[in-house]
Amino acid sequence: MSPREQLNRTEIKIATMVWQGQTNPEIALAMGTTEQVIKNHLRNVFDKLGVWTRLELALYVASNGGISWAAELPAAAAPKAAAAAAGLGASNSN
Amino acid sequence: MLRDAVSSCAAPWVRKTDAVHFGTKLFQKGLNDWVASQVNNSSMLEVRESTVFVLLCFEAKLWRRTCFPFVRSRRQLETAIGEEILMVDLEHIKITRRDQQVLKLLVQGCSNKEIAAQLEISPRTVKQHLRTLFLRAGIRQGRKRVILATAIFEKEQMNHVASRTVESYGD
Repeated sequence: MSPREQLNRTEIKIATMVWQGQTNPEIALAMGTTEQVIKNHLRNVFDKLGVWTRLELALYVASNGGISWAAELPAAAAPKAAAAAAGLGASNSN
Repeated sequence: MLRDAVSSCAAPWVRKTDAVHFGTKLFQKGLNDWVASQVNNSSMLEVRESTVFVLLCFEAKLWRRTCFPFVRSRRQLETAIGEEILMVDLEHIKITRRDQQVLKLLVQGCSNKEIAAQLEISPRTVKQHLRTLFLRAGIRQGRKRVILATAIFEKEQMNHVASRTVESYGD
């Protein structure tokens, strides 16, 4: 069982948001909880993946699929990066 | 088509004297009018005028003095269009050799202290290196070092894939 499969839905969502470079308060706002709850979740994610910092977590996500993590989630609150990419794609197609 | 128009600098109102009015309302009006006309020409783009222009600027590498010799920095471009550019750009920025050393350690997941110990500089110097990189790349909100590290990581991976395909073609 790979470390990545041990994560539940919430943890995958949080890990994806960390990968996008969001801060704990931003994640808490998006999830509708408090910062401390997010911190607890992140601690669990760190333990499961065997990383020590959020930077290492972000790099883990980046090296294990990256965007595919976000794709698994239901389409909620499209991140800015995706919107920018969509805009670029539109201008490229012309 | 739009992109070609920009890259060949088909903006008739851009003259050298416009540099004098740079950042003023006059300049901005000309910019907006031109972009608006371009947008009207192509009905495909349903994006706001300034957004379109920013994207075009990036694609045409405008701030590298190709079309606007007087646009030297992201901030100048922002003053001209009166809006923040949210896009992270790693392709057209200056990265010094020392910056590269810092980045190499950053994408390995090192903290500032660890980078400082490796390069035998103070952690505050590392912070300063990163701060200039954030400014140049246009990263200004969120957990910035994470954004920078993932962006560099992806860029490296792209280069890796590209070089591998070139090698296989060579064989």
